[in-house]
Amino acid sequence: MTEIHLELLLGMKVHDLNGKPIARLEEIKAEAAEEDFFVVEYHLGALGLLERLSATTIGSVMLRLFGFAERPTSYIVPWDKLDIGNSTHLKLRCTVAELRTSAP
Amino acid sequence: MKKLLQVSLGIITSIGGFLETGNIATSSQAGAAYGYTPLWAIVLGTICVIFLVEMSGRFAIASHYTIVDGIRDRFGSNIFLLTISIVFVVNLLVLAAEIGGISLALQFLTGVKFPWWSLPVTFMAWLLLWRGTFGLIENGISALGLLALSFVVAVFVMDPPWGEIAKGLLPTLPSKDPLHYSFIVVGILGAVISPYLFYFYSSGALEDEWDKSYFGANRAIAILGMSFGAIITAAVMVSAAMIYPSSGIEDIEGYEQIAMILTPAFGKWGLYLFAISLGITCLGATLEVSLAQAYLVAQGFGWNWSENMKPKENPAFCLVYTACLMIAVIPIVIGVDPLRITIFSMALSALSLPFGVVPFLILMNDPTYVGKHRNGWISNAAVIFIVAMAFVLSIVTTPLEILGG
Amino acid sequence: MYLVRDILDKQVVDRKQARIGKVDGIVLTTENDGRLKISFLEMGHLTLMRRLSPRLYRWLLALSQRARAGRDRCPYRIPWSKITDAGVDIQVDIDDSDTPLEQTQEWLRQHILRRIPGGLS
Repeated sequence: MTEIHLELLLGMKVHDLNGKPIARLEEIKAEAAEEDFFVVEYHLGALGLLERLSATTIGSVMLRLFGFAERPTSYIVPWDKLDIGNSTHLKLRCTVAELRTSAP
Repeated sequence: MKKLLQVSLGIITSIGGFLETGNIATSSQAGAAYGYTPLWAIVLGTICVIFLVEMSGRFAIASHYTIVDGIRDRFGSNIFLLTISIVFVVNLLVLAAEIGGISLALQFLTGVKFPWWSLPVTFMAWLLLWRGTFGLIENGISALGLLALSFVVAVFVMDPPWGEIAKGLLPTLPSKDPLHYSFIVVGILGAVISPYLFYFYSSGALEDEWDKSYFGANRAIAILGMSFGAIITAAVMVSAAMIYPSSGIEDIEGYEQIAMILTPAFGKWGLYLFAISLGITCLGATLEVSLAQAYLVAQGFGWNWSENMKPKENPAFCLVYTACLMIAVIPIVIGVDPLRITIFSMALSALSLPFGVVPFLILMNDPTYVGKHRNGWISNAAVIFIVAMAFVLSIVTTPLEILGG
Repeated sequence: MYLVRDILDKQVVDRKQARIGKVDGIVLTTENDGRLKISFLEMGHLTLMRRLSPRLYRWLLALSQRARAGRDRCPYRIPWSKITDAGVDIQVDIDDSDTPLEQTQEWLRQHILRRIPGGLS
C-alpha cells in the first residue's frame, strides 16, 4: 500500500506517451464508493504562465487588451490513465487524442 | 441609521492606515518642496484606497472569509506564503516608524528624547491589545482621532489661497527636479495605500459581525472614513505649503521642523496640538498594524483569531502581535531617526503594493467567493491603474533617491 | 467533490466549531485494484514547507528531529472518515484538545501566558 501526497502533485507537468509535457495537473475529482472516496478524474490545465493567468477573470481581460485572445485548453483524464508513481514526472497512459477536453 | 455608527471602523482604519506618521511626513515634505502641486497625489491615492476598502468590506460580507483565507484557498499555500511574507516584512518596518512617531510626539511634549519613550510606548500599545477588545480600540481611537481635525482648522485660520489649492488637485508636472517630485509622489501613494489597511478593515468587518445588510453601509463607511483621512492629509500639505517656502525651507530634514506646522495658526498651543495628534494617529496605526500582522499569520495558518477573544483563547494570535511589537521597537530604541524609517518604509510600501493588491483583486472578480457582488470594471480599472503607477514610479525613483542620498 | 477546490487549504474546525488549522495536505493510498483511496487530511508546518521547497523541508525536518531527540514525529493526520461536513469550512469529528495545534496553544498558555499578568484570566 503506497502513499501519495496529493498536494505535491499539484502544478506538476504531465507528459504524454512520448515524454513531451502537455499540461499541468490542476484539480482532482473524487467520488464516493461504498464508504470511502476514490479518485475518478484528473483535470489538467495550461502549461504556460500567460495561459494560466488568462484562466482568471481579470487576467483574461488584461491579456485580451494586449491581443491574446485564446482560452487555455483543459484536459480531463480518467483516474487509471495517469501514472503518478513518479511525483516529479507524471505520465499519461493513453494518447492525448483519447482525452476529453472540458469547455473553458 | 444605526449602521452608520459603525463608521468608527472606517474612521479608525483611516486614522491608523491613512493618517499616520507616513502621511504626515510625506505630505509636509511635499508641501514644503512643491507647494500645492502634489495635492492630486492625495486625491488619486484616496480614490484607490476607497475602492480597496469598500472591496475588502464587500468581500468579508459576501464570502464570510477573510482576505487571507481567500488568498490561501484560491492560490494555494505557496503563493500565500510568498505574498504574506512580503507584506509582513514591510509591515514590520511601518510598525517601527509608527512607534517612532508616538515616541517623537512625547519628545515634543516633554523634551525627553524619543528613544527613552520607545519602550514605555510599545508596552502601552501592547497592553491595549492584550486587555482591550476590538470594539474598544475601534471606538477609542476614532474618538481621540477627531483631534487631528485641528490640522483642518489650522488651514481655515490661515486663510489659504483656494485657487492654488484647486489647481493642485489636478495632476500637474513639477517645475523643477522631476525625479525628486516623483519620489515624493511615490511616498504619498505608499503612505496612503497601505495593504495592511484593507486587510485590517476586512478582519474588522468580521469582528464587528457585518452581515448581508451591511453592503450599503460598507460603501458609505469606506467613503466617509477614507475621505476623513484624506481631508486631514491634504490640510497638512496645504499648511506646509503656506508655512515652509515663505520661511525659506524647501527640504524638510527633521521632524522638529514638521512639529511647527500648527504654530502659525494656534501659537504655542500649536506644538502641543501637533504632538497630541501625531501621538494619537501613530498609536492608532501601531495598534492597527500589530493586529493586521496577527490576522495575517493566524488566519493564514488556520488558528483561532480575534481581538474580541481573551488572550487565553488564542495565545498564538496574541503572541504574534507581541513579537512584532518587540521586533519593531528595536530600531527606535537604538536611536534610528524615525523620519528616515518613515520615508523608507513608505517607499517600500509602494514597491510591495502589487503583491498585496493583485491577489486580492483576482479574488474580487471570482464569483466562487463573492457571488454576484463581483467588481465592476471601474473598480478594477481604477485600482490597477493607480497601483501600477505607484509600482512603476517606485521602481524608478527609489534606487535613485537612495543613491542620491 | 473536487479535492483542490473544496478541501485543500481550507479551514478545519472541530466538533465545537473551534479552528484547528488548515488542510495542508491530502494523503492518498493505492488499493489492491489500483484505485486511489483518499485516506487522510494532513496538517502541519512541515507538510506546508514541503510544498514550498523540498530542500527547506529536509532541513526543517532534520532540525525538528534533533529537537525531539530523534523521536520520529509523524505529521498530524485526520482520517477521511472523520469529516462530517465540507462546506465553507471542513468540519471534523475531533476534539481540538487532540490536535498538535491545540497542544501547542496549551503549551503557550502554561509556559508563556502564565508568566504575564492577565494571561490566564
